[in-house]
Amino acid sequence: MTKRYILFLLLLALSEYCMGQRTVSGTVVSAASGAALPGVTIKLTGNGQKYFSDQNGKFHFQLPASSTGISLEFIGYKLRNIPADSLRRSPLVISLTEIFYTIQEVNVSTGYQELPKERATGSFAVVDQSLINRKVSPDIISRLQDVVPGLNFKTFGTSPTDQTSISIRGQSTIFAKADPLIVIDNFPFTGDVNNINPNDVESITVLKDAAAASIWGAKAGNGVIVITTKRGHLNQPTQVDFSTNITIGRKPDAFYYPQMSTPDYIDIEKKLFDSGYYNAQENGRAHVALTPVVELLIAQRDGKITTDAANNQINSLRSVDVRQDISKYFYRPPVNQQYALNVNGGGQYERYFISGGYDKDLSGSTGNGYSRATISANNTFYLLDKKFEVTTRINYINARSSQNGMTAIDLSTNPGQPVYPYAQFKGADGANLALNHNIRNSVESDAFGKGLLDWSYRPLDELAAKDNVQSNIEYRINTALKYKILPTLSASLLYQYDRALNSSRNLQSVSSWYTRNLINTYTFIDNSGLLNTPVPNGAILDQTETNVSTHNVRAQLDFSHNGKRGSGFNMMAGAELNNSHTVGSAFRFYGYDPDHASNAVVDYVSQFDSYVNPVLSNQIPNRDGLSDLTDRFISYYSNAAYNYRGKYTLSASGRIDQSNLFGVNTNQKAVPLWSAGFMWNLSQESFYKVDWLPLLKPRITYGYNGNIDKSLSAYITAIYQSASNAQFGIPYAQVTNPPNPDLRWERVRIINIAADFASKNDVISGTIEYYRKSGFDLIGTSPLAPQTGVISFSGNTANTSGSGIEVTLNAHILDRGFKWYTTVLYSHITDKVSKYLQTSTDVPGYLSSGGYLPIVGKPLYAMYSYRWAGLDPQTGDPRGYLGGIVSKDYAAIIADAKFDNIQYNGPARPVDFGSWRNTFSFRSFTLTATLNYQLGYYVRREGINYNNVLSGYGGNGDYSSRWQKPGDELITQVPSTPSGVNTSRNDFYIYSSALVEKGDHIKFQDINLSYEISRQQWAALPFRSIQIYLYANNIGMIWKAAKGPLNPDYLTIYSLPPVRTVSLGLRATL
Amino acid sequence: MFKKLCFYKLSCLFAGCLCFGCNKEYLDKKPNQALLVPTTFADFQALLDNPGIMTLAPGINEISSDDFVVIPDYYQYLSVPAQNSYIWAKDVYEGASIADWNNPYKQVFYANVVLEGLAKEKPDAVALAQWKVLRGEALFFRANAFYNLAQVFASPYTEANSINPGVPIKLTSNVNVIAQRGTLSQTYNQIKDDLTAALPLLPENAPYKNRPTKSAAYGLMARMALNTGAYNDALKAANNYLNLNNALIDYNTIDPSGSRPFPKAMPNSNVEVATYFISQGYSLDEVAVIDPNLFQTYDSNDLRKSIFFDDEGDGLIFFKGSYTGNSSWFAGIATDEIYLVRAESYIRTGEVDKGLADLNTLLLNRYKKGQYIPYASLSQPIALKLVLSERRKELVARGLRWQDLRRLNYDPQFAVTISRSVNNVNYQLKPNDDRYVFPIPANEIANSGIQQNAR
Repeated sequence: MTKRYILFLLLLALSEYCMGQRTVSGTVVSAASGAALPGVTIKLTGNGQKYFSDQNGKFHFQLPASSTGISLEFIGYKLRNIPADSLRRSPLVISLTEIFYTIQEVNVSTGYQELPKERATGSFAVVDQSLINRKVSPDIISRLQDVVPGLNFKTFGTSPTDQTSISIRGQSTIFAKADPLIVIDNFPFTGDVNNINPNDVESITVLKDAAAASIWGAKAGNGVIVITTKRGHLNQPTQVDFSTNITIGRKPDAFYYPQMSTPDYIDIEKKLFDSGYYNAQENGRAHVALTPVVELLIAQRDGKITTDAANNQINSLRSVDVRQDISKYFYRPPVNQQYALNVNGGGQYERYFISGGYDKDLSGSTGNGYSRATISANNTFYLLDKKFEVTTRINYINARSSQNGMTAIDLSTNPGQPVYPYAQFKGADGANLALNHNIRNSVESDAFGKGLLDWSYRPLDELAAKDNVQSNIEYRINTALKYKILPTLSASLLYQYDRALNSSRNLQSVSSWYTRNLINTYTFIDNSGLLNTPVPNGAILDQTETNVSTHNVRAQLDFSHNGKRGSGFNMMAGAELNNSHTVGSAFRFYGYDPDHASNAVVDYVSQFDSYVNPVLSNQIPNRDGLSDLTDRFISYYSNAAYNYRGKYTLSASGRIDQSNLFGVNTNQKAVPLWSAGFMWNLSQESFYKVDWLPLLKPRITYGYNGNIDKSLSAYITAIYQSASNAQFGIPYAQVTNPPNPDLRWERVRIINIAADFASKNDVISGTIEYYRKSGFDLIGTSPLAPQTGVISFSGNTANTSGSGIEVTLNAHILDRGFKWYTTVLYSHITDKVSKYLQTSTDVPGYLSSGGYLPIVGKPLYAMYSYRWAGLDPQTGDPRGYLGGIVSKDYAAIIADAKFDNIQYNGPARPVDFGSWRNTFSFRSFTLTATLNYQLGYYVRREGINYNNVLSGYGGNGDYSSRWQKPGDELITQVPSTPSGVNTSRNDFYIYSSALVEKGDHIKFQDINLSYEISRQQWAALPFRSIQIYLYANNIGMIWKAAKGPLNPDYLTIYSLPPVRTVSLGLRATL
Repeated sequence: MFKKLCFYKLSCLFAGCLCFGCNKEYLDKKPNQALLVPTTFADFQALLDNPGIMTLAPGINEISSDDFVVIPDYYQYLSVPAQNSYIWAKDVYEGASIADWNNPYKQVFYANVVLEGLAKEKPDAVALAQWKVLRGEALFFRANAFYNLAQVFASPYTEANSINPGVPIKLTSNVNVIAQRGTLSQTYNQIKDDLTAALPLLPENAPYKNRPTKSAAYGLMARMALNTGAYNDALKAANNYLNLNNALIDYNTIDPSGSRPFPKAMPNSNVEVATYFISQGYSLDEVAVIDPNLFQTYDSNDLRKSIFFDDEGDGLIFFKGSYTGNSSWFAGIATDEIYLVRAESYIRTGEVDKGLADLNTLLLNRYKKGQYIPYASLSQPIALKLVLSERRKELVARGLRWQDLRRLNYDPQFAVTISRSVNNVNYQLKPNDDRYVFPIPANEIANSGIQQNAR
């Protein structure tokens, strides 16, 4: 029957062929859904003639005899070639296979191998294209927010050396690096992660437990983030993607942090003046700056102006609020622009991807900005019958950031004394006004009279004079060779060279106050009355350069054998070598002349008397310095997994790291970091009969990850200080830590128990994970008797322990024309320090340092405070407890404070956090919105600091609600103003429970509305598809536990919360 | 064929990679080029040249002495240990770690690292000279640190006290070895031994004043001998010192209007300075003025009155005459002190005229030209009183007053009771009070278990 039919077709074909030209018609459909595909390009091979399928996927054309066939191209689908012989039957139904959507399984990448998530025993989280594209930001890291369970952005206890503010499953180290390892295209990334162009990223895998991360050995302790960049696809016609967006934010709120009002400030200054408080400053040798009100009061006292004139001038200042000028001149709405273009495609034996990107950001602080240009290209060739695979990648990044905004230090009266609230930056005549800054006006004018430079400080001129740029150039060259020795065995050799040049250039021209001040401070008048300027009269140029070059070489064997009935075994083993060399230099040129690129020589050795305070003598600051750092690793690793009939998977991995950071002993012992895992696909068992839960897959893993503290070395005994730092002009050496030949990496043991599940038709699916984490051999300090010459010793002496739960829940609530998907992420983390040898008894020191001293039995970041007994109803004094009895003996309360008798409020980092994302889509519209929450932690609010108030420094806005008369204690917790500076009373209050609040809050994080149209919907579209989206970020607080106007994560005067932004963007594919 | 070749090549590369593992040198690379494992003479010298460690002497004792008075309003600006030291409180540090104890032991640690490093070297004839100098320097630094510690944390040296606890004598850099306190005579014997061993090794001159010389060692010997009442030894050491170096600054050449009148001691501008040390800073320079009674004792023709002190007429007389030439207070050894040591030793051993001659030599350089009337033919007791008074006037702010108070309190004619008043509370320190010995800091007691001082 069939044979006869074929014969008939052949005859038919022959007859048509003879006619020379024939009509071909039919429909193009999706292979997966069978739905018609409109807008498919149909190209005739031979003459190149193009046709398109219509709205119903139908096509109709004449096929000339010369044509050997057709090719069908459609975005998102595999290219399909059909020879003319196969076009005999008409109407035809041609199905196209989707490229992305047919791959039902998600692949996870460890940086060493890709494996289907289904078969992974470990804890992996994958962030795909659509989630990466959902957010708008110049960087990739912020796009991980709210989409990865267990991953949180630290708001407390961040260190300036942290590269990211990410923590994955809490922190398991005390002093070592707390950043996760970032891997990009197989190798650890050594540059600035913020410079990675998110438009080049295909997907991100976050490795959380031991089974996932232990392959990275001694670097995996804080989790690993594996970034995979985009590549072209085999048999895919050339495709051009273009995207652009613009983001506009609100101007930072200068009034965010409540501050004491100007009239209150002036009243206090007057009171302090009357009490003679300013006499010491007025008559002191340091000649510090006094505020205008104090200067007026002095002038009035000395009879230089009348009382009326003084009062009038002072009263005119009462209505001024410097924050208006700060907002007007130093803040602006931030504007970010982003452009990205890529071309990608592939034939049968090669695939390619070329992209370029440009970002330009103007920050909310006037003068600060960022720009970045990136170029990347990758190419893969398949040779020798696809047995040999060659991949090359080149990436180039050029980023520049300008740091020319005004900082809090720029706006201060004296170091540590904030600017007075009635400062004005521009006069009525439009002239830039001077601030009383660091040095008293009378000294400044006297010096000016003697021929020194103008010493006055005009903030707006400073803003204009700033010229501080940091630039970052990085390129990465990556080659991978892979050869299939046997169908089951392949060998690969990978090499990457990465070079980053970071430089900064801060030109402080002679019009900047910094330079004028330095010149003047060192100026002296010699015996003949001549002015001598040891700091030459010219600009000061500071430059730094850091050059990092990294070589990585990896050789790896992969074995994979697929047995019968879905069983399989795969194993890989390899060795890796890396060498990272950092060379840095910093130098300063005095008397720099930009026009001629010349500089002057200065005397760094002699001491010069200060012009302002002649009893002080100083050397001219020397900023020259060099550094030369080398990190070397040799690592051996292996990973194996056995899968039995798709039901059971057993995995194991191990790694040995040797490094020049560890001591000889550690390198020789070769203790591996290892993991083992087991997964049971319970729902595949024949006895499993739960119809409503067709997928249930428990898994368990156990193993160790490591972490490295680079600040320590087994060999260190001393560090050289260069001559420039030495007060005697001779280089000297400083012992940093006694030798520690047993130094080794920190270890984190993780047990992970999890289950993946899905209900019928995936209506509800998700994962629940429970883990226990224990940190061993953590670097901690332990005390030594000072007679040894070393007060504390850093070594592998501390332990931590913790546990957590992560839940991911996906639900398809509506899945028809109108779709509503929802995703809930919940993470719970607890941790505590379980061993720490240096027991701290210094409660005041702990509280004032912000609470970062490990305390055994408590979380690494803990909130403590003095117990609070309310205000004294008679005096408004704060009250605490001394020996359990209400007391106002603050000095005794502080002296008596022990960690077990003061209040432990709770953890200072969120214990429960997560997000709730809803996605609605209807036809071409998609709307997604994210709420996130951070719960179970405590924050310390800055209260009124009466030491500052009574030093004339102003203070918190709480001042206006302070206790003033009996009865106020019922409505306020803010103490009364003390009669004089009382440090104990002040410290007690500032660190009392009265100012500790719950940090819990829920935020409406962001919303994205997009409209996407493709040729499927509209055949005349000049693009294959185009998407327009509107995105709003940092939308607002929905709920928070604490009262008051502040965001609990931004409670200090100089930290402003991120501003609300709105972005408009476009993504098009040609 | 190709398949084979390729496999072969890959295996080679693979094996080559593994071979790096065998290459020990690859992993022996220093992680930070600035790190050093002290092995060379230059490294040892660099350790001993560390200004933040090797040039510091205790300073907390000066606050307890009677040369300076803290301006009442400024008392609050003193650090807690300084406040407690000023009022001779029982608990001085309130649990804090204290540099006056820690730092001399850092010096001992550095010295021991160098001594142990040198012991491993087998210097050839050329290197021997430098080896000797370094060993001499390290021994001197160790002796000096023990001496300074003994003046603050152990009782004054007398025959009767010699079995009192000394200070821990740490002779190894091994941080796991804990030394107990031993006796006072053990402490002083160790200092003597180190200095005796250092003397033949040290050079006569050094390019930088922070590096010890023979003069420095003789100077410290002289200071210690005087302090322990060994006047003949003091005489001998002072003679040896002054034979090497007896130059004095004629104060007529110093401009008293300068804010820091003396030439900078570092690297080598002050001819009187034998070795450069500064006392641990407690901001006394800013918050304390000279005791008015002491200031009264300076003659109007005495140039020290205007060169040492900043009298702006407001009654607050600050000290500005540090031999460092900057705001740090000089605590090293200088020729003027040695003249005074010899003068006192002569007088105490009965050679009053020789003693007065030394005093005259010194004071001739301290008075306005032509205004000084040399002392002659005084009785021994009067001469002794005179030399002690001149000693106090000359050696202001050198950290020596505390040592003098401690030793002189054993002589009833020179014993003094110091008193002061802070915030309307009066405090007194009687001669030979237990509080003439500072307590050992709590973190030392907690981690080594050594004996605490009674106080």
